[in-house]
Amino acid sequence: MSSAPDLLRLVNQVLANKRRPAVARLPSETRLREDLGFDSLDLAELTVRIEEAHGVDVFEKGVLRTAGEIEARLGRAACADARQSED
Amino acid sequence: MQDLFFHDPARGERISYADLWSEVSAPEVAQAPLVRPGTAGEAVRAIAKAVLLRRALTLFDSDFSDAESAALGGTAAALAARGHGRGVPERDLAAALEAARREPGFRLTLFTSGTTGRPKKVTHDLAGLTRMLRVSSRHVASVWGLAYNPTHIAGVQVVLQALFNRNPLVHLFQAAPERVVEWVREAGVTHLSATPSFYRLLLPQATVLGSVRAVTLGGERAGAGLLAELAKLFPAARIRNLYASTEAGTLFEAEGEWFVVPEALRDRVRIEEGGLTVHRSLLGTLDGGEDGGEWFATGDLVERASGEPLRFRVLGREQEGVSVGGHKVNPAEVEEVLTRCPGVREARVFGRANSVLGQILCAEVVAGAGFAEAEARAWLAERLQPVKVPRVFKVVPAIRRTRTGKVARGAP
Repeated sequence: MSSAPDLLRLVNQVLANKRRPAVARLPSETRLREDLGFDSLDLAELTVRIEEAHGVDVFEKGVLRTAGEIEARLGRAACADARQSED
Repeated sequence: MQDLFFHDPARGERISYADLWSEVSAPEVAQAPLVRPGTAGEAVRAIAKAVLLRRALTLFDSDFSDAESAALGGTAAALAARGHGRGVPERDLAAALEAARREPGFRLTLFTSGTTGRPKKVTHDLAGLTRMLRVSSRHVASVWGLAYNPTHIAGVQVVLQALFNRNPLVHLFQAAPERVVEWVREAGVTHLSATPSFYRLLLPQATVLGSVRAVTLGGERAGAGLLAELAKLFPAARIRNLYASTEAGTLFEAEGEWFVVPEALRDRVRIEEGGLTVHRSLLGTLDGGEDGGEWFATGDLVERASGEPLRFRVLGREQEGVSVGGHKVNPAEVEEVLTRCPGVREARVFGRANSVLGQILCAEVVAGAGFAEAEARAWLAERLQPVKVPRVFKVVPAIRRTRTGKVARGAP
């Protein structure tokens, strides 16, 4: 499963709502706050959009800082789903 | 740093107690009675000056739109007005602070989301704002992190606590987590008071902040998980929950999630149908309040543990209010503005649980001809504070209503 193009789309949706230009790429080291200028309301909006698309609350266990951390969290959640979660 | 009153590291702004004193100790001092501050420094300075000068101050939220502000009496002309009057008569700051606590004159008007329509005014005197204030030699070395908006009551209370003890305040509100950690360390912050959302954004954290001795949470419900994480981040701190509202100021505190009503307030606090109700004598003066009854429903749903003394914990808000990061938003106010937007036939605004901010604001719209989401967002952004603009829009065929015909508030 590749979440990268989808995360890019969701991030760009939040940017569009802030009337900021879209980004063409989302390297994993992209920092949500510093590089994209997200504030806490934007982060909250992003969680809702990711949750709607993937059914995962990525910030449930604390706020993630970079695009790569979100992808890792989404990847882990997908694996856990596949294994039907042991814990 | 000695004599520092306020430091905003993001803007490089500093105000010393000497600066403050020189501004208020002239024979005649001009001070605006209505202020919509552009920066936290401006807000903090206005509050401190009004306290020392013993004058009335109305503080508009810095992010009010011009239209919101004007509708509440803060027109451009009113905000430009300067009140003239005598400067502080005492010989020095210590004497002036002492006199300010005894003498009347200071009143602070703030704005709160009502349960209907527009925000309403709440006016507090110093006694109501300083119910939990502690002034003593034990506090001389305290350094406060200002992690609340200083135009809101919780921020005002932090400013007053620092001012009366002549402690420095370090502005941390809305700073990125990395900066908060850096500045807390740099300034040796000992006291932090903030919403659960503020602390949630700091986590997870690999480091510890050992200088902090007191951590206070308020404005939203804090779960046990968050409290446990905070104990790791602030190993030297006593962690407390505060129960406070814009209408009443701070009323109760708790070590865990159970609040105990102190003896002095026992006759003025009740639980009615699961909702916390407080006597009007505990409130500031409400302007245009919707009911003039003797008891005021806080809108918080609580669970009672014992009757004498009354112990309770907060379960949540009654449906009307949405709390976005501790900032109370009235969905009816947003709906009212949204339904006036061209292309919107009907609208429903509601809160939805969110791991970052507790709740996030969402809107459902029945679209008419010419509806465009981007235009609806722009329409709202022009007229309302950013926190009141729904972050997620959905176009729906019809709005869900309750049996009495009211818009249903819960998330679908």
